[in-house]
Amino acid sequence: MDTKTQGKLDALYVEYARKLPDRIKQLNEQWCHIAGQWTQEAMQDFHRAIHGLCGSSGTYGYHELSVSARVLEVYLKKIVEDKKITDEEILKITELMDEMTKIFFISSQSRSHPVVANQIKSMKQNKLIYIFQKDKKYSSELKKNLGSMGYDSIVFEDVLFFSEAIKKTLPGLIIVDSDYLDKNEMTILQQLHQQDIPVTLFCISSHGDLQTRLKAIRAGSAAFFLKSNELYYLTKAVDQVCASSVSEALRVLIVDDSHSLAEYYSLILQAAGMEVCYITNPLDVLEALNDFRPGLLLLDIYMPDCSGLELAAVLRQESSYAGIPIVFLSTEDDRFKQLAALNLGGDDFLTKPVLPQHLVAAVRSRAKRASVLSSYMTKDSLTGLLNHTNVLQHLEIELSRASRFDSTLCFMMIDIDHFKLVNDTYGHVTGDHVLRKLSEVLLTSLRKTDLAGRYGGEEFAVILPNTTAEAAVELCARIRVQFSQCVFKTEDGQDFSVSFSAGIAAYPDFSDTKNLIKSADRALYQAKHEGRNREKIFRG
Amino acid sequence: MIKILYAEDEEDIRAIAKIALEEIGGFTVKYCQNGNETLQAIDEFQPDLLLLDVMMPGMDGPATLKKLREKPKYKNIPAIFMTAKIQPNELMQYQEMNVLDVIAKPFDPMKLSEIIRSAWDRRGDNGH
Repeated sequence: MDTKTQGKLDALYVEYARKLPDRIKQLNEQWCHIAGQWTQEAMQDFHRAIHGLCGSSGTYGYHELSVSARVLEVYLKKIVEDKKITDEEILKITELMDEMTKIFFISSQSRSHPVVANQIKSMKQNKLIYIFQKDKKYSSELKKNLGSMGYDSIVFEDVLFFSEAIKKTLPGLIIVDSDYLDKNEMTILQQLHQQDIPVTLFCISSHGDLQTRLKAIRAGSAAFFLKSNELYYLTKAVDQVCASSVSEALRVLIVDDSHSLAEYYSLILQAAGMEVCYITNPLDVLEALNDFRPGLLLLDIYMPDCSGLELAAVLRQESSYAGIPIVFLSTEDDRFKQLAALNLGGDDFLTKPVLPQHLVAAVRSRAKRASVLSSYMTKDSLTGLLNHTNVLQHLEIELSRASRFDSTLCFMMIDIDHFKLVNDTYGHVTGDHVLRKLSEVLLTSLRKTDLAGRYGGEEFAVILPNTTAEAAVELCARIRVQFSQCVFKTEDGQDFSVSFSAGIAAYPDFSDTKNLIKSADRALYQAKHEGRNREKIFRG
Repeated sequence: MIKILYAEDEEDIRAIAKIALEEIGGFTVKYCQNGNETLQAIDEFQPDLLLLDVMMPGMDGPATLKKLREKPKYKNIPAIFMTAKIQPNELMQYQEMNVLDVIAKPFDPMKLSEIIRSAWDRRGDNGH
């Protein structure tokens, strides 16, 4: 489709979105009128209007609204030809109207039509960052780090310039030092949140006390960082907010024996940007888990054949599924049954009927916590890189992928030169600082598809898929030079710097993990032997 | 180029269908707001295919088609229904009216013309 057609479609979506609130309001007025003074013709008009809303809202991307309009329409259809209306029917319709109106307001807040969603997406890819910070040393370091990750950042020290810049061009992200947050600054930042496209705000501070953190929250900050911490954490969070690839959709598997309910939940979660698959036969769950690989399971408790509780118990006994968060859904509001559900390995319990926003929030928060937990299990605690076991696992996976797609791959082993001397001379705290700095340099210079891990004490491993030996050598040299230029401070204020040596081996020169690692290790030995601070490649 | 006469009372749906049918699908389309307009427009426009919303005020889609099929000239004109409710018993009713397809609403504007084209390609099977 050409851009002109897309433009026309977009314009329609925007127009529809603009008119929709009025339309919902009119429908409410129309119904109030009928409830007070019923006529069959008015009822038919109302039915037709709801029918129309059901069709058009779905076509324009308001799926939740369409589903709730459908429920109302089905009910209206049954009574639209009647010669009179009962009080009970009026009550029921009023209830359904309220529900529909509520759903409209909720869904139009969290997400409206596709065009607006796209605008938000492109905002996320906005690589412009404003930094409001008076500490020159910190801001220049931050700017350099962000620059190496492909972000343009502008540092502001004056609040006037800052507010002018915001008026002209909206950045993708604003980083503010909350130590300089005064009334003026607060007002500017709070106004930002009233815009159609909100800008993410991060706060940094030299103090971590509750007052400072509260100030950040009140300014609308999405994350808080201490200036004394490694920049790595901040830059990583920046990447999470700004890079599109990180916002990979959450995958949810729904098991519910009712088709219509399962579909209803899927629509709600899909509208919140998740990928959803549902099955109505609980016995299909293992297959679905394998095929769909969900990040979270939404289980109905009462199902024929096998209850949700039994299903959870089975899954919790299987180590490969033990980590998947399970959220139970049921009409059961008996506290004891709920406790039993949690005891059997559930993570949360939602009582039907669930409000759409509760469902989305519960699913999101459970999934988020699970992914944080699993990152602790696979990551080295000091550096945040993959740990030894995971490096090996990933190498295995990447290698089989390379052979399947007939592509290249490089494995790189890095060892910090004279690290023992650093530790002995300057102490372990400084040594740890060096290790963290190297992981920061690695993470900021590698591509998203590359993987870095801490292989041993001062040894690091890097997996470079789709990379030739020559490109790997070039990349390695660049990282090496960058790292060797980092200046470290000892506890008594002395400056020093450190270098590393690296060995590289390439697939398909070596075709299995064992040989690849062995060859990279040999190349590393050679690099050390030839005088350190260099990279070597091993050619069989 | 396939000429479609399209009856739909919802303005928003007509607007999006216009893009889906003309720009994406490349059809020539004339739009009507209800059954009566359709009856009046058909002789002059001479469509190859009718696209009828099921639920319209006044004369609905099925009634419109029934009326048209009474005329020998349009006895076999290919037609497609569009409806928000596809319940099995209704579907049977429509299929007995010898239509090419019943398209569910809401529809995906990107796919609408594809669906119509494949229904159009099937028209031989239905005895048209």
